[in-house]
Amino acid sequence: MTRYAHHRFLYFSRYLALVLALVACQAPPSDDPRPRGQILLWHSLDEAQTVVLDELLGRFIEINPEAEIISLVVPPEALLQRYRDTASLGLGPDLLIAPAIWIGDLAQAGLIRSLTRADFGANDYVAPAILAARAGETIYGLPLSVAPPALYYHRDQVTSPPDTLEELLAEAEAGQEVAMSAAFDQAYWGIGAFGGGLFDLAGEPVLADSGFAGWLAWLKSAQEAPGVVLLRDGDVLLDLFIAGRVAYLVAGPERLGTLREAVPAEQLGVAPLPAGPAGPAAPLIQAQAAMINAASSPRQAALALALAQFLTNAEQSIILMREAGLVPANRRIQVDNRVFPQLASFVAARQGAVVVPGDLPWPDFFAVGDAIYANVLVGVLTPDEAVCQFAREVNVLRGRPPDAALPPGCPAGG
Amino acid sequence: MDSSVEILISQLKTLLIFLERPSVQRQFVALLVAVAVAGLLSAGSDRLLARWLRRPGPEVEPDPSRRRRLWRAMDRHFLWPVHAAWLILVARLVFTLQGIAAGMLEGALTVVLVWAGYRGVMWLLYLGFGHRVVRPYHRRVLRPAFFIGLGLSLLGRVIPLPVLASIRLFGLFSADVTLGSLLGALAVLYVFITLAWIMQGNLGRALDRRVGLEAGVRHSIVTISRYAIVGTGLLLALSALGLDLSTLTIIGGGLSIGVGFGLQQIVANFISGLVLLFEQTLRPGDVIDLDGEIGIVEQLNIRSTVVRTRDDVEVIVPNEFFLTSRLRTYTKSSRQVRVLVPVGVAYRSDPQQIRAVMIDVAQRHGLVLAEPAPAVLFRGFGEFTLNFELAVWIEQPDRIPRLKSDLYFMLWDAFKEQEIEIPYPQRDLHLKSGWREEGEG
Repeated sequence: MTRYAHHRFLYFSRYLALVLALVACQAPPSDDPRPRGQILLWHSLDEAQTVVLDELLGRFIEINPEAEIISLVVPPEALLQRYRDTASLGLGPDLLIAPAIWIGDLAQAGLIRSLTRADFGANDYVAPAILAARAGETIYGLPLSVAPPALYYHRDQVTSPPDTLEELLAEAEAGQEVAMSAAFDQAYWGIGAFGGGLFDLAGEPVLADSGFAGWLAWLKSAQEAPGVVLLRDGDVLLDLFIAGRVAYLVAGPERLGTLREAVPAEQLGVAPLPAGPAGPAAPLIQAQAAMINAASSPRQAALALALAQFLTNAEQSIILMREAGLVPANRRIQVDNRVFPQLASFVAARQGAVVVPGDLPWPDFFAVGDAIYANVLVGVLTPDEAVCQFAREVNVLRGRPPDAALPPGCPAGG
Repeated sequence: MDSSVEILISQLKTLLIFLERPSVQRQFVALLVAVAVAGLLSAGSDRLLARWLRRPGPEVEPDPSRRRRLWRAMDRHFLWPVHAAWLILVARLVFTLQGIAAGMLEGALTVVLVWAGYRGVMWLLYLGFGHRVVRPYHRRVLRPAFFIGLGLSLLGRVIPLPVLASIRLFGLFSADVTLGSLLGALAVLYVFITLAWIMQGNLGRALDRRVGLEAGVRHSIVTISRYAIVGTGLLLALSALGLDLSTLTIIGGGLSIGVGFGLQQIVANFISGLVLLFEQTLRPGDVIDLDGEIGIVEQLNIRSTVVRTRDDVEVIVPNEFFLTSRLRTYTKSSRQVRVLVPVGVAYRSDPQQIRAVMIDVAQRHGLVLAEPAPAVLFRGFGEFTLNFELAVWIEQPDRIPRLKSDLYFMLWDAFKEQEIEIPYPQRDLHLKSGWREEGEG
């Protein structure tokens, strides 16, 4: 053996022995059931909400002095990708508070831990929130908050908010202008008001009686009405409402903080979305869920689960609702309209909300919906043609033949 | 607690959180084992290769030693990362099949391949340009750049670099020096110092080969360029630290007070160095008279000048000395120096013969220039000798004493051969009262 090879052989032998010794010296896992140790939490809550969350984390530490939480705010636009990148390495946060709509992707990639009903602890959540936290039949997160849209209105311009879409359109034509989003996910709520919704409980499309065509027709007529502003840009709609140029605004609770600052409290009203001929509005639920990293150690996972249960329990949910404007997903919370007049409509809207089936790639699904809306609003497709087109494209998204199970009246190969 | 310390502690705790995870531990151990086993395998293959290269057989290559060197170099550069790469690949496959997170191993594989690529490039560079040329660049430029880049890339996978960079270390005037700004400033400084180092070697050679400038001018240009580059780097580094120009003015004000009290000599020497460099009053290679002793200017630095005497002693002279003292230089505008060698011969000698002999001696010495031609000056009638001076011109002023010695030796031989007498000193004594014989009384 050359001197160089001999030297290298000795060097790496010692190195290998050191590595094996380190592995052998690992501490045995603890049997202590109490939540303890250190975990990392990532979220994208805004500044005011982060302050409230930090208070709650402080309370959790008071109760569990052997636990330590390192909380990190990640910009919302970077959160998903950063989590994917780090969790695939075995790194990333132990607890991720993020939109539940990401659950399908993350679960499929094996990056989040599956949960059972037993993991809910003493908590119970509204059904749409649990559905949103599922991928297939498996639950992957504890729902923290939901964000169904409601109808904001200026109390000084509106005596009584409309109960139905027909009344809303009539008021718009009479001069009480309405600002609505033309984005598919934001303007999903009317489908359920005209029919049974796009999907059944099993997640299968039921376009025949969904009410989709009726809602598209209503949107088309609303667009042509003099008092309806239908735009994709939610910020423009918000500015119009703040400036008092429109009396109504359809938006979620995430806008509540901004509106509270811009509009005097006594002038800001929030009402449930108007119902349609088939029943109340069924908005697409935008839920935030607490998810646990699949790579976390058992001790870290236990602590993360305990923290998730704590943050989503009724007491903390009330604090998050009151101080951070987060509509609770916890079922036990019922809000009195007299105590929280602005939040009560959002809380009431939770039960009627719907979710997108977990097996659908939601960005593509929303893109298809946006294109359908746009085509109807510019007159390229009639509402009936749009329903057929939508059915074909959803089939493609699910990997099925385009013409599989089309609604009656849809031509094959169209 | 200071927020920067909190951030740092929080990052360290985050690392501990990651290390607690079984998937991280497994990947980490697999990685370390793969690297160690790769090292052992490469040591073993080194042994086999050494044996194979020693084996007798028909040599295909024209130069068998070159082939050996090539293989051994490849072995030492390549085999370790290559073994590490396939071992990591196997570990990743096993992890993936078992449903264990293997992202770190995937990242490590990329790192090892990049590492192998780097070593391959270095191998080719060494083969192409030779050890002497590549090694300085390898050590000062390529290796730091590669490992710093790699380290930052790896660190960034674990800890968000912007968070780490934003850690505040201390306040400097009105600026907050963060870890990022400090490392950035050091990087800028290192880049410019390296640029100055590269420039120093290449510019000097380029000026010599392409422009044909003389050594002194070359040295001055290179020195000035070096200080300009390092000075620019220093300013940019201060700027990277977050100091603005007004802050630098404050620093300048503070320094001027310091200069007034204690640093004035240093600054005077510094300024003198700049003047010498720009004026070209003195250049490396100049022969000067320093306190009655001839010396050659070896280095002209910004604060001091190194002069080597004929005794091979280096004298470090502050630059201010050359601007404030009367300086005798033999090489300011021309390197030609006249050397006078005085000689006295007996009165019965023929002056024409003397001149011919002395001219012949001068012409035979290798240092004496043919043009201007050597000359013999008849200096006068001495008390007991005819006085001549041999005047010769040379281009190596530092060799004057040696030349004189040589010429005296040669003149002695020539006079002896021509039977030309060099008389002893003579004195005629005239005694007015005569001698007093011994015993008289």
